[in-house]
Amino acid sequence: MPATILIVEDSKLVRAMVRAALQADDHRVMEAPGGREALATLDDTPVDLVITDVNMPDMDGLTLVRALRARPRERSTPILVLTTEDGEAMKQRGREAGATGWLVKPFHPDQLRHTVRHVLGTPA
Amino acid sequence: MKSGEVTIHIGGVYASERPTIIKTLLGSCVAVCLHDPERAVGGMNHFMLPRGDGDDAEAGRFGVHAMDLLIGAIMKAGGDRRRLVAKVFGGAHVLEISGSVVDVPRRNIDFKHVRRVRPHALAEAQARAAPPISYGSITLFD
Repeated sequence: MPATILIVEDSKLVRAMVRAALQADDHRVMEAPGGREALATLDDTPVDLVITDVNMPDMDGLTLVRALRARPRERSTPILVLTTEDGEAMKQRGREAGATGWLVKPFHPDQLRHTVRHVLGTPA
Repeated sequence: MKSGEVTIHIGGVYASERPTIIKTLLGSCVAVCLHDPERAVGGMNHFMLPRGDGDDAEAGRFGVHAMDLLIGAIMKAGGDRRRLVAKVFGGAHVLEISGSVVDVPRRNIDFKHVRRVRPHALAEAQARAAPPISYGSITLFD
């Protein structure tokens, strides 16, 4: 079932790659180049899933995850972190911040779609 | 003499005695560039696999034919095959296909016409081969 998904990522190219992967499953995809823009977007539009990078200029992804978990509407929204950070310590920080899952780049579109279906609870 | 620009795709062959920029986009395919420095004639082909099943309409897509087509085009443009200098590009691993027994880049680099090119050119082709892509891990938290 198509969902509304927000991609938070400062790289335009990666945003385009994630968008292409998700649109293949007919999801409605929104984009934000950073954490602040993501919060502004979410003020206007509720989403079913947030996919965020970690290392971004204005607001890092883990700060965004914590901010979203403090908001009633996004308290239980699935949040996937998509990052080049592959250390266990960073993953643990992501878990503590409230992330639903941690995907290390580079990603395969099929794996991303599979993970998205899993966290959205839709059939694979 | 006005210079031009030509783009060739899989199966394409182009040769000219005029100053020309020949472009192509490669992954696991191979492009062989031949040049006769004395007559300033050169060209490029772009082939997908060393050999096919003999379908003439697709001849240029396969190395055995693409080399003949390129050498012929260079000779037609005034080049001499005995003086040809080659550079080879491509043969990259761009996709990791699990369970595949068809190693296209390896087959292309092992192609005898590619092997016959001077060692420095072959080394260049292999150096330009991208490493296999490995994807990152996925962790779902409880």
